[in-house]
Amino acid sequence: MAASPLDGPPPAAPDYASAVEAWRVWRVGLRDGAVVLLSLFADAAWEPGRPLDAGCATRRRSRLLPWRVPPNDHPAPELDCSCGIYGVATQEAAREYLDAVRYAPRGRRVLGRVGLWGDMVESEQGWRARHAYPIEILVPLPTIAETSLRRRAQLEEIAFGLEAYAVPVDVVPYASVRPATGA
Amino acid sequence: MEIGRPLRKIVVEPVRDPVPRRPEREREPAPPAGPPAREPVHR
Repeated sequence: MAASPLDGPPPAAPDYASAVEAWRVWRVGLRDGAVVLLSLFADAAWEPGRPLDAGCATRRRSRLLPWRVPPNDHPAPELDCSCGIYGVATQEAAREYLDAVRYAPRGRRVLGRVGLWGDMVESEQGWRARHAYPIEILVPLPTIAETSLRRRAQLEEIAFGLEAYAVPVDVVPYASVRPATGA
Repeated sequence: MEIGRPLRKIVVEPVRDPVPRRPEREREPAPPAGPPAREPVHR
């Protein structure tokens, strides 16, 4: 007798029907002559017009064979792993990464809102997600007193290149997104 | 990025595609679909 399509457990209903909006910071780089967003810590390029898909690149040492460090083979993100595409809940939290150089390669950075979806891990101050795409990109522009005209022209060029993502790209005064100090 | 302690797993299935489509005029032209078809030869 053929199995009925009604057999088995019903598919779980999604928790949300629209992408979760979060904040994050990207590095900016060049790929094939085009300006692209790069993840801050991972070596991942965000291609215009395509969602970024997460995989788990974390490796764990085997308990039985401790000299072996095989890669994880689970789909990202998992609750007890650190994999996935990160976003924080507030702009203030993301701004901390605009100037932070700890653990991350140097280079021009931009701030923005990101849409996260798919399987996700909800955390105290943000999320890790399976899929992501930018919603809005803010390019911080220092004042003339803080930088050269040539550097400002480069930033304008970066902003123009980022329009390939087909999302709003705004050049904003650096002071408006600079992490608050002493407050 | 620091996001604190994980709380729970959730599933997000957007009704609308979160990836915006580029305006039609900005799209790159489609590549040619292959070599032009040969004309039939009548003998």
